[in-house]
Amino acid sequence: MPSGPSLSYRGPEGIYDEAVKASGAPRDHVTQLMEAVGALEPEQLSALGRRRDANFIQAGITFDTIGPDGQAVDRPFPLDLVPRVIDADEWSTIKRGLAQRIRALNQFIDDVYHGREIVREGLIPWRLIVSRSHFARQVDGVRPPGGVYTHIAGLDLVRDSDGTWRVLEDNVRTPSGISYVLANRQAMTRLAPRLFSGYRVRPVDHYPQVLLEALRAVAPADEGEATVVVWTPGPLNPAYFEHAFLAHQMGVELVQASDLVVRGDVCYMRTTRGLERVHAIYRRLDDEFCDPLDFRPDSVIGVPGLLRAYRSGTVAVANAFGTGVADDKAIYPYVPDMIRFYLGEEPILQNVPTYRMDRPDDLAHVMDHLDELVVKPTSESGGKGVVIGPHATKAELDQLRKDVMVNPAKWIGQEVVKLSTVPTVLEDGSLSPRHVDLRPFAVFGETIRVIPGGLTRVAMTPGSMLVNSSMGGGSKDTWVLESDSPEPDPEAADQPAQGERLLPALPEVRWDSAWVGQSQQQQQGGGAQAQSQDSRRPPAPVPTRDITTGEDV
Amino acid sequence: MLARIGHELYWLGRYVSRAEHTSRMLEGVFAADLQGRPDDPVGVNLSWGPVMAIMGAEWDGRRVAAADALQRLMLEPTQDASVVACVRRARESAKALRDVVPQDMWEAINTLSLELMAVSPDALLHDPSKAFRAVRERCTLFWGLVGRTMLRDEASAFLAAGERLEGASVLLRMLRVVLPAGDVRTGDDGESDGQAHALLRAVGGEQAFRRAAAGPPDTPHVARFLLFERDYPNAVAAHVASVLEAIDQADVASRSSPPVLRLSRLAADLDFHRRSLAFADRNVLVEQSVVIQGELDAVDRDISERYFAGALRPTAFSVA
Repeated sequence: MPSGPSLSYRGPEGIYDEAVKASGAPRDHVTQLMEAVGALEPEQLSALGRRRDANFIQAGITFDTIGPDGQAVDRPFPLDLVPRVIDADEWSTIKRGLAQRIRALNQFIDDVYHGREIVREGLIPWRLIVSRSHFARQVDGVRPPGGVYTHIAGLDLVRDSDGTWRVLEDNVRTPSGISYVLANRQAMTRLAPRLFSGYRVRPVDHYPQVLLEALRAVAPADEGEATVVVWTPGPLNPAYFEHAFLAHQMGVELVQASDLVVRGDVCYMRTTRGLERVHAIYRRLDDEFCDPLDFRPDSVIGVPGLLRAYRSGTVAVANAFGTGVADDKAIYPYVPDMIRFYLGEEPILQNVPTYRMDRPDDLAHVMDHLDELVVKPTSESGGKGVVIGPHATKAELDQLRKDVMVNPAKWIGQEVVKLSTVPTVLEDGSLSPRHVDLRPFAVFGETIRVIPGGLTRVAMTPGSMLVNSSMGGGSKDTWVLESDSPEPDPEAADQPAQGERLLPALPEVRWDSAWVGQSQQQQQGGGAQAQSQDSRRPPAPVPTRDITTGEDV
Repeated sequence: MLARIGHELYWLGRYVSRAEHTSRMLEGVFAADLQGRPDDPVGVNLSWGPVMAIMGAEWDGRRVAAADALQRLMLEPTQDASVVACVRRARESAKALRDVVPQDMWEAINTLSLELMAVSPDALLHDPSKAFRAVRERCTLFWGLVGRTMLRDEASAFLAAGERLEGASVLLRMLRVVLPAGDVRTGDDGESDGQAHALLRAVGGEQAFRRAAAGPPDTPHVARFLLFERDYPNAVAAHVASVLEAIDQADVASRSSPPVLRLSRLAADLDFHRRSLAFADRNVLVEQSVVIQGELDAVDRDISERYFAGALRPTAFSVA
């Protein structure tokens, strides 16, 4: 009988714990794991922790935080040693839910810049859409190669107190954190191989390959292999490690703005052998910095003329320009409606109950219950400006009230979600429940593929629900278990066999033969509605923002 | 390969090479200065004043204090020709290239940078040999690692091109300054003086010169040896040949490449002059150095134009 710390582990009252039931007995799919963890003495666990930190520092997997003395300190990326386990059935729901949501968002972006049917239908006010700071009028009427806008999406999921998965936020601009998912898994297999025994955990390390395939799939290359690059703002960006990591893993060049040049309508990179054509750019900076000619003229990290090239369809940019309109917090409440409208399906994953402050009733309700709700500014990300009612002081709430009343449409109110907990190792090697969220990553090329698991972020302070790394949050390796019944391709989340449709409207292709071929293929694969609504849509680059957002892992 | 990466590699080579040669030169001057013969300026002009001139400072002919010169050329990070500034920039380049260059090479540069930062001005003046040795050893280690661990591809070719071009450039600068042009008396009496030796020592070529039996160690012989002797790796001719070889390897169409053509011409000229100028005096040699230097500057521009999308950095030294 194991005698380690897991036996004494209990989840907190009234909160869903993912490892143990309310009775204290481990849930079925984690029984073995809890036993294996229990077999380790607390000293062994803390020794493992020290080894992990040493390994991370050696490998340079660190991030800067501000120490108590105000100086920046390089800390090893905080990985908790107890993995989080998601069983196959649960994952299959999440995966389908994500694919559904991403497809709807993609459709919405296309609609916003083209037919605006959802507006004409009266579901979302045009005023709201056009006033979003990430709405890019520069790409109005421009459809990117393949009709895909949200090539890489990282949606934030949380679990309610009854264990239901809910979507907290959509990130379809430049979500970051995938490199930590891969680094965490690698570290876990080296540090604690024993924990894996008895489990068949789905691998994650093929992500770079999946991403590369997706980028190649949308790249408008007519002959030979498409040239794909990763575009980073530079080494000073906090997520530079990830940019370099992905470029390295995909085996493609990591470029900066000075490496790219647009001649005519074609984008090239400067190589030692002259200009070489670039077909697809995985950019890690925001729309507004991408092209000083069409977006912010003062951007020195942009490529003049890129938007022109994008418009003429000679280069694919991932994610496409203008996607920011879909992950704005003011648009978030409308996503379930989008799913019903575009896909004719009921949403598989629900939103967190949200109040739209542009409605007088909702506004009044939020004002009356400020101390019970979470209030978030729209057009922000990374936890900026978020006020959690139950944890705020009176002065903060008064200030918030004033701020909101100035322009209610710039805010949303949400019910507080009691995030689920997972056992987490403390410094002394004992286990204690900590709140977590999950950011799974999906790649949209020819199909949507969801990488099993994702980045689990942990709030390391007891009772805290702030999981951002900048707030002292940690992370966990996230295991998705293999199901007993083998599926043909467990990651292709939107196979037609599952009754899901691909994009209903694909671009009318006018630039080259390869494109025609590809769109036909997709249309056949998707089955339904393959007619193009607008036959004269050139693909256009839309700027997105990566510089300040989504770097909070 | 991205032009930016190629450019960074080329400059990494130049910075490391510049640091190495500068330090070697300072070491030679330091030794010569200890036993200086200020009354007998025949031969070469190797003391701190000319060194400042070599490094691009204004020099009015007055004596420069050793402490001052050493401190400025070795440890002053704000002087962009100082050894420490070169090492620092090399470190920055290596950092930007961390996925291109092997880890050990990065460590060699990083360690050197840390070692130099730990040297205090007092310690330097008291015993500069320690700092000189650190630079020499780390740089040698760096180039050794290039030879042992780096793939022979474009990357190592650009690194080598930068290294050798800088080597030639430093050497030419030295020759132009230390060989006093004009109507210097050229008697037989003082030609074989210790200063020519010092010049050889400053480029680390004493032994090679002796073994090559290139003649008596007087100024014209030493200068000719350093300019034209292809078999001595730190001679201008050898540097030029190596740059040519590296660029030739990196270029897919080297037959129509301006830098390759220019370098081939220069290499042939040097080979020819080795014989044609066998008895030339130092004025001719100084003139020749100026011509070669001009050609190398043109090569630098050609290389930038062809491979680095026109990106240029100021190649000249400067100290205030």
